[in-house]
Amino acid sequence: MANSLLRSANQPSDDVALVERALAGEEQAFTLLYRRHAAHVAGVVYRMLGSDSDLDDIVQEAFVEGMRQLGELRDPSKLRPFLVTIAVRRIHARLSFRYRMKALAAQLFGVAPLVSDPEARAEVHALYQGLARVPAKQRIVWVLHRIEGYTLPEVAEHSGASLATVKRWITAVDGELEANNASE
Amino acid sequence: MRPSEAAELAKKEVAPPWDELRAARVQRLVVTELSVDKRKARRVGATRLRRPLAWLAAAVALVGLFVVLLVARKHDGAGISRLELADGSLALFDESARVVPELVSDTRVELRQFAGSASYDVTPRPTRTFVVRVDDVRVEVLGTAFRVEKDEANIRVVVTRGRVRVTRGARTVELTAGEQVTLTEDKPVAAAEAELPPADATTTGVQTTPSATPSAVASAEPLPSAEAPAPTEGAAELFRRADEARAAGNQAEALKLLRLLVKTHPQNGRVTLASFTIGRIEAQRGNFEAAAAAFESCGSAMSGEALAEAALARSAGGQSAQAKALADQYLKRFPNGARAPEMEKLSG
Repeated sequence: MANSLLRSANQPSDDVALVERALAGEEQAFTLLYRRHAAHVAGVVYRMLGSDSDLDDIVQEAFVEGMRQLGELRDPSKLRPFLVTIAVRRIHARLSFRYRMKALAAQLFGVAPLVSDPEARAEVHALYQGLARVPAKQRIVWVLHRIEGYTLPEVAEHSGASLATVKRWITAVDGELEANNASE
Repeated sequence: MRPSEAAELAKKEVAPPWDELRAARVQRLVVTELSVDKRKARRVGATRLRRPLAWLAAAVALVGLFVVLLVARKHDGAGISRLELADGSLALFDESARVVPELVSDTRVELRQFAGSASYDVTPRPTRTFVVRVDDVRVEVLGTAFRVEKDEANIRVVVTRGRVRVTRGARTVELTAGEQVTLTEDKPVAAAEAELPPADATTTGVQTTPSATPSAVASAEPLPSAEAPAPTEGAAELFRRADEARAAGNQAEALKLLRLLVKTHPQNGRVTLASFTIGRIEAQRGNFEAAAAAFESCGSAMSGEALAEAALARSAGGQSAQAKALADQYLKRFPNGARAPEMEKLSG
């Protein structure tokens, strides 16, 4: 039944009704919203961080903060981007911290994500090693655009940076990664 | 390979080990935290000293002096009072709580809790250390929300969100969300029992994910006494390995590790989650009898999820009467639960 409920709630417009029900305190509505969006948010977070560390915490925090601010969501059909934005803010805080503690982080956190195709592993790991060298904000913007496929205006909205800055940062990261490739 | 091509590859090939069980685990933590919000809202609704206390805390924080003062508190009807620090951190005190801020500055907050229970929801700030001292026990916030209870014999620390480090003497244990440690006052920390709360308690949420650092997970295990025999592999380690085995698709190995955990650590708080996971794996393998038995051993844990899964497993195994009985049991305990519609169908 839960699955059938999930299947029936697969349109963005359904988010509107579910958000209303969740705001009214209906626990099942929250459950459905969570089940619809958690995997997506987890995917974005994982590809952004490049590792499993902090994944559960960030997904948890994104949903807790998202539910707390649900009443402030102007367009309930935009719940997913809203959750992603919150997650991105959390990721930024963690990535910034991780960069400051780089030496320690290198020991504690793997920066190599799981790659389903073994033949693609080396390329993907090289990509994340390259990303580890760019500033956190630029990395977030680049991953949102290049990997997650968000448009530039969407990336600007998620990251809180201007469109011009977003473009500049993506170009900078492209250059950095190209240079890394060339040096290897 | 060009960066854009590598990005395409990452988009296609990189996915988190995010399965249903992990999603349910995080969901439970979210629900727990939101339910704490609701309780806080109810309890502090009538507190009139909120602003003066916040101003007091802000003033102390700004001056940055070493200040010792008894927290002036006013209780609402539920006997709860509240202290809000300038950075948004919040402490909720039960009527019996006696807590004194010993040091409040931009870089360090130290509170001493003499008695009673208090919940702390600490705004994460990497540049500021937040410590609660209870007798010779030191609880340092690494994450965000936790609760400290002190009665005549015990000190208990329960973590709702994030991580804390609990230290007594030279021994330290790190707890993650959903974990707790109970320290008996007349025993050294080496003999303290670290345990996880029952899965359906309001402050729980077992988090034994690969996201935790190995040291953090390992240290959340019961701290062995010097006299104790060398333990077999720790419950956290077994659970972590089982998670890895499942992520790698090796369900048989995962089952073996989880059963070993249940057998060798029967008192550990992870047992419920381990049994639940066994149930899920057995159900996936079509072993509905074994799945049902595993789910049933979890009781009504996880807001009734285990009961619901047990009912479905019995139904899938053709045991309609048992399935109906379990569904009825679920509906009785969780009439508005997330699985109620499914259970109503089974109940007929």
